[in-house]
Amino acid sequence: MAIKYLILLSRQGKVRLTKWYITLSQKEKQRIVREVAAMIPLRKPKMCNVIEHKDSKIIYRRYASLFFICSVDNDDNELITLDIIQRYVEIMDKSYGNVCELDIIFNFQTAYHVLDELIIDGVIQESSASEVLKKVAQQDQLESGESLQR
Amino acid sequence: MPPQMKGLVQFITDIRNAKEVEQEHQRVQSELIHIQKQFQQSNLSAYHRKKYICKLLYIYMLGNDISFGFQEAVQLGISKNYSDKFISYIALDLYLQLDPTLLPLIIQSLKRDLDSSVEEINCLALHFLSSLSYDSESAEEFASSVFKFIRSPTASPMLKKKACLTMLALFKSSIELLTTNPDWIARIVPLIGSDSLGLSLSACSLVEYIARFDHDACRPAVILAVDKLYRIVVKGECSQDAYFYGKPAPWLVCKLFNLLETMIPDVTSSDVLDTDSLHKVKEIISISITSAVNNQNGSHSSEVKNTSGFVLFSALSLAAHIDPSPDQAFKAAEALCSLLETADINSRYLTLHALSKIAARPDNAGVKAITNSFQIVFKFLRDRDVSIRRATLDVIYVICDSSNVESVCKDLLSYLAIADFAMKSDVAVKISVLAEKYAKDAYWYVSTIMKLLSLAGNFVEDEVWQRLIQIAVNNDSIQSMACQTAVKYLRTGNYPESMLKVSAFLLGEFGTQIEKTCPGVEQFYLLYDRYFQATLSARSRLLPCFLKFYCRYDGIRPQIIDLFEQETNSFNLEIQQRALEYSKLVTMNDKHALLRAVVTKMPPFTSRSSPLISRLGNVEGLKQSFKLPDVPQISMLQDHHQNLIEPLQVSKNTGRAAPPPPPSRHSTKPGVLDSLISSPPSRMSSRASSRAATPLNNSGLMNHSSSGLFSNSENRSTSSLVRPHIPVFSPNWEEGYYRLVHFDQGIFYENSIMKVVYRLKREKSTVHLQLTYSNKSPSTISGFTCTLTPNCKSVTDPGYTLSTIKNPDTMVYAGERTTQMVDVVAKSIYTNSEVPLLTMNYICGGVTSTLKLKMPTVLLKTLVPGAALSKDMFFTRWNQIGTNLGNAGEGQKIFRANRKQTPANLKRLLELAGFNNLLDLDPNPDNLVCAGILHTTSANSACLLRLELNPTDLVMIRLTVRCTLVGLSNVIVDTLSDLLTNEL
Repeated sequence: MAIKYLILLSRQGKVRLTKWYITLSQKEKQRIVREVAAMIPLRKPKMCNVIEHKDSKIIYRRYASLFFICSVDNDDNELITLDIIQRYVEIMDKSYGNVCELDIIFNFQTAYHVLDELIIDGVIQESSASEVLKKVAQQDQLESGESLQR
Repeated sequence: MPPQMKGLVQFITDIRNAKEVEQEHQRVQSELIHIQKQFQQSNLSAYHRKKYICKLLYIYMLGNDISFGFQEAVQLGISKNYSDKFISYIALDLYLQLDPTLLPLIIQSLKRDLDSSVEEINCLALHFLSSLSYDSESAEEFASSVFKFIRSPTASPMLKKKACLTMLALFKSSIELLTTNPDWIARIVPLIGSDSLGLSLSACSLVEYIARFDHDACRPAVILAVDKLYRIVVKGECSQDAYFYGKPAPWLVCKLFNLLETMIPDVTSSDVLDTDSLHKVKEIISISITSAVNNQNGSHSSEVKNTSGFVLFSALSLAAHIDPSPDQAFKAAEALCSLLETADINSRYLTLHALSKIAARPDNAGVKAITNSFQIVFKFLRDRDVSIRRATLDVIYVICDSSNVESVCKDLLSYLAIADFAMKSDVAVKISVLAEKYAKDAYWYVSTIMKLLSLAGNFVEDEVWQRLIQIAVNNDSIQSMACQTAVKYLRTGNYPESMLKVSAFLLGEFGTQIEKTCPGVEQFYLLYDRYFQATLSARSRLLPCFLKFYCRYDGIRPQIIDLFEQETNSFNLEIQQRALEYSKLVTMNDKHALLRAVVTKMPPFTSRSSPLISRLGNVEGLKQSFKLPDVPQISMLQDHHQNLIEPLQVSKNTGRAAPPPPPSRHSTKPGVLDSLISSPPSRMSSRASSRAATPLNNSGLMNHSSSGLFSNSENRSTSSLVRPHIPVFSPNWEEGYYRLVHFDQGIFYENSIMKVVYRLKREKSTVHLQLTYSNKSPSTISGFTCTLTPNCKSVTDPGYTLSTIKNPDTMVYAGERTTQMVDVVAKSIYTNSEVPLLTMNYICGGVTSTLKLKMPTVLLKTLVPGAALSKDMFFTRWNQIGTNLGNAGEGQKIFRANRKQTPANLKRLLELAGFNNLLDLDPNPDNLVCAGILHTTSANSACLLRLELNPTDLVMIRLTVRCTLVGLSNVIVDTLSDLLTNEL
């Protein structure tokens, strides 16, 4: 019951964010990114959000120009993972204020912040959006406080 | 929003603006050189250091390797600034993934951050710890610091939930942590009942993992999970914030379902759920399913459908564990079939998956329902979404059995012609396994596989045709037919190469059997004509085949010798060596004596399992996800056994021991043949042994399935960490224990937080217990569980059984109370050391506590007063027991009471114990004589008792008991003497 990795991919197949919950070499990671990039953007809009790939399942969803792609074990619940993606996007939307691809590219720290508050080691830790937002806001405050001191 | 770093933004913009890969690459390289230069400066400010590390992170994400910067990341981590630390940890995470040996270099600063008084910094350290991969040594080192957060009364729920998941990561890398810290589990489990849903969620994941290894220690989790679910699902106690698309706390609900599934591995473990909880669970499931189905059908958004869908499928999965009747499975399968035609593609995919799960149940109940919708299912093989096609193929595979195998294989073969490239190999493997598994007729099997090869020969795995060869070698009866079929396909001239390989083997080995219809020479030319168009791997199979032909037919020898000579110049080593060896063999001057010694008949294969099973992927795993009682499964195993082996291996293997295998020269893939030859233990015996070793795991259906599945089932079944349970009771347990051995109700235990009142009602062999727990503290007690565990010496034939009538609430508010009701049924004699143990876990004011008490439910509690007896009758019976049973019927003890007793006191005590005091029977008025009847479900026993108190010191007592049931008198003597010597 754990997510193996999360990859944010643009429609053109460019990587926008990655988080790996399994240990892999850069080579293996790149191989996975390549495979995923070759597969997911080609899927048609009405196809289902699950695709089996080797010994795991890939759950993905497209939001505007970005694909959110997760890999889980075969016996995992697909829809739960799909909803974790949905929750992640919702929280980012609130945290950035109408999130778009560029926000994530230029401000990837916040995207990681939110992710870390949502998931630890591939396992969901908090399902409440307001809890996560509260926590992220606290951290942001800490950061901006620090930069004012400087 | 944190402030942005200008340089970083510029860099990212540059990368984005790069039109070509080359341009991006150049920009990255120049930046790397720049950063390296900057890092060499001695007076680099923290801000710049952070900026450059951010750039490195971005460069790494783009897919480039990073070879420097570790020192700077460490430096950055020393800073007191939160954002510096945050970036530093992201970077360190990356460097440690690249080189785990760096860990010792940062242990100190990591520990400092764990000990920090700033919660945010603890969190960062925990996040970092969770992402590392450890050896067991460093896992041990960090585990206690992480556990400190879980245990701490002051740590916030947020910190605790992170600590739980970090602990999960630690356990995953080193499960020994559980053995070395057995007391941790009792502290972790109550967190499931926490008010904070996030903490509850995290604790669930952790406990679910622990339960796979130490099932028993996690038992209290069942009650907590049921209670939590009941609150959320049935009572609707869930804050608005936790609702997600109309579902209350869906993640937590599913995690709890999952946890219950792990805790209830199969229906035989029904003792995990008492009737009270079982009732609640059924209510929870039925509400979840109804509301989810409603959401599925309406015109809701896809998010609503997804969310209700995942709750629905989790609930269905749990329902199958709780109520596994075949009838239920049939209904479920039928309902799912009706969902098949839904427009929502995700639902369709999941429905197909659920169907294959249900159909894979060993009782086959679901198969019938699906067979009715067979046409619809088959239609989905032509869906445009590959995910749907694959799922459909799985369903078809699972519902195939000996009754429909021929039509299924036929349909699949015709599908094979139009299947896309990605699916072909999968379809081929499945046809091949199905054909072997359910074939009723060996001829049909051969023709099916040959057809498969001719249709999809270029896509099938080598194992498919290798298996055909194995079976042909082991079955005399089909050899000629196989050769004929091969010739038929060869004559068409249009066939894939795997057909050539199979034919080469078959004709080389058994070609003589069909000489009448197809002369050997023709056979040879059929193969020979294709030789020069064949690939190297086919050639290396053809060469030994030609060697065999060389032995048989004189006419073609020159041609074969020519070929061998020619191939001695082959650029391929394998071919060259073969050709060289063969040409030496045939030209040797020994009248072919050596040649004949080398070319012998193929010995039968000893491996009975198909190498294809490992290629089936996840389908076989389905069979393991349900574990049903032994009975249906055994009959099914036999079915399987017969189907799999008997029709195909008819005559040959009986009576003839397999000779040692020949050197496997003609295999370019030694791995496959080796694995075939090194004979594994036969399927039946290994299954038997695995069953004996792990009684919980009766899923040894496919021992040879892929290793991933197997390890999974092992994890679930064997509680590998069996620890001896030596009860250590909480301080001051004796007072309440002896009070309630003496009386039937009273205060059982009391401390500053809670008070336990014990009430007992006797009804023949059953004792009704009611325990009332009152919260004395000013705060709420949460995560409260009380478990009674039997402590009988014999597990198979216990002296008593426990059944829970009502569990206490898991939350007790200040000043309130909750009750627990348990029935103890005495089955036969049990001693005082075998009484049940009561374990209480609870959290109060953030502190987790555990209490262990010995239950005063001694056997004597089933005693009721006997009828009044006259003096004569009493002594007649007393003597009867003496003559009939001798010493076995009597127990006697002389002991010193711990305080002065009076006859009146003792009389009262014996009355309370359940005896009828018979007055004026004993010549000495100070002596007491009593009678009673003790009930157990196996037998009732008359008990006669005589107690003599020394009238001078009033402490020395002689107690004599005679009972009609052998062994009982000693138990009664022990109970009473224990009470009189120890009561406080």
